[in-house]
Amino acid sequence: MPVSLMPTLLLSVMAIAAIMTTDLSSHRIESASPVASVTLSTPADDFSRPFDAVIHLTLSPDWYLYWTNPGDAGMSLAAEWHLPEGFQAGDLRFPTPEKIVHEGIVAFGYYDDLIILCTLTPPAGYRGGNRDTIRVDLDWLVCSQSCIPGKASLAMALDVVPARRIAAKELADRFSRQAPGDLADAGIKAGTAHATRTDSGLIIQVPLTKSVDDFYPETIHDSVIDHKRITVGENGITIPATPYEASTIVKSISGLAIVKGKGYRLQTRVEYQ
Amino acid sequence: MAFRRASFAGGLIIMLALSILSASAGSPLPTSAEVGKPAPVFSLKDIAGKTLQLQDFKGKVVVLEWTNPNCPYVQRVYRDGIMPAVQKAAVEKGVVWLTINSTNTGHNDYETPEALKETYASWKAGFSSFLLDSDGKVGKQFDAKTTPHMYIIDKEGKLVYNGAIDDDPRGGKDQKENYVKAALDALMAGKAVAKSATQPYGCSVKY
Repeated sequence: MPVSLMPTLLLSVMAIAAIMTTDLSSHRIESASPVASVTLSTPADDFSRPFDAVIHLTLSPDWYLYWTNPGDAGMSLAAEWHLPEGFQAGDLRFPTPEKIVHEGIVAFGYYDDLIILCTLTPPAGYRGGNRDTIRVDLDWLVCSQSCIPGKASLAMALDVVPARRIAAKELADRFSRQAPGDLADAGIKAGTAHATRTDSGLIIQVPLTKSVDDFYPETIHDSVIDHKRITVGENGITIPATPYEASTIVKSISGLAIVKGKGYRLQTRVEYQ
Repeated sequence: MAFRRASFAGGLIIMLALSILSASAGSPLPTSAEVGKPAPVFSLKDIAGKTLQLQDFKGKVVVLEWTNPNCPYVQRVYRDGIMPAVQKAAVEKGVVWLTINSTNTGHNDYETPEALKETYASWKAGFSSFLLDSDGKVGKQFDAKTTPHMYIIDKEGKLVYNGAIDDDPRGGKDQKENYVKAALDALMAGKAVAKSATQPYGCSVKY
């Protein structure tokens, strides 16, 4: 049993009335840890249809967590969901990260705090009211000068507690302001990307109808992206990458085009020259 | 117009002279690491203070392993026996294994040579030498990004591998694919290295 749940479970056993709602949805970490708190909550009041789970981590100053593509080093936060029968969890949704460059090493991450959303879908005909529990095991790497791996196991009951719901809604609203939009929202279109083989790998060129300020790629399966050599300009985005094997074919490019500090999702297929 | 033509001709003469000069001096030494090309040459002191040069090992396969004992990924691959196993098997077969620390002296993670010697001995490390690169010069020549970050140089001095130790950054896989072991096995069998570049994982190198 995860050590973190033991004290709260003990308390719930001792509590006679369910009125004393022990908060299983948060994990208080020792003050020495760079991750000050981790919580799991939901703004939903109807669990019979898909709803969002909200994960929130707060950090001590100068510490950062990583995006889904951590960059040249680091590790993205991962989640393993333990759900009631028939429930499905979607992918974790991250806000637009910051690019953090130090001595030529590029990272994509977040200072201060990180809000992550994940859509949970109940099975057809789910009525709720069972006080079912959603559990998630989180695994992360938090870095400043040095790096420290971290874990937390969180749980939340599928019931509606107004104060918690309001807090979760505030987090979800803040997330929607930080979340990336679609490229079309920025009035830009991406054409099919062209890949050219070179001595050292590939140059992938993404044509755009308008120039952007930067591009944060998602990881490419079985290829190494040279993050510090990504360039943006009149012709669009240029991404140098090295496939693991000569036979590896890159089929598509996804990532965030950055325009005036905001991120826009871009996805396009790749054609080889 | 005449001035421009004259300076253009002048520039051409200078370029020609320079190329003749450099041709007679031999082709320029590589300053960055690219798989398929000659690896950058370097010279570093080991933890005992002895100077080693990459050129000393011509005719042997050389593995470079970037390390930092305060990085949780380095700790895991050593404590779980992953790195020592590959090191020992390689060194037994005549490979020269150079473990390199590019942590700068001002960094929190910096350790003295004495402390490094003790830590890696306690981890039963099997490298041939442990080299100190605290000004980060060699790390940057190889564009070493993580600890661990692995490079393999063949007997002719060509870089044939650049990337991770294995395919298990989170350490949770039952069956791990050790890229370095596979590459060394291929080289020993006279075959080409199939996966010559992989995404390295770990903490950033603390330049």
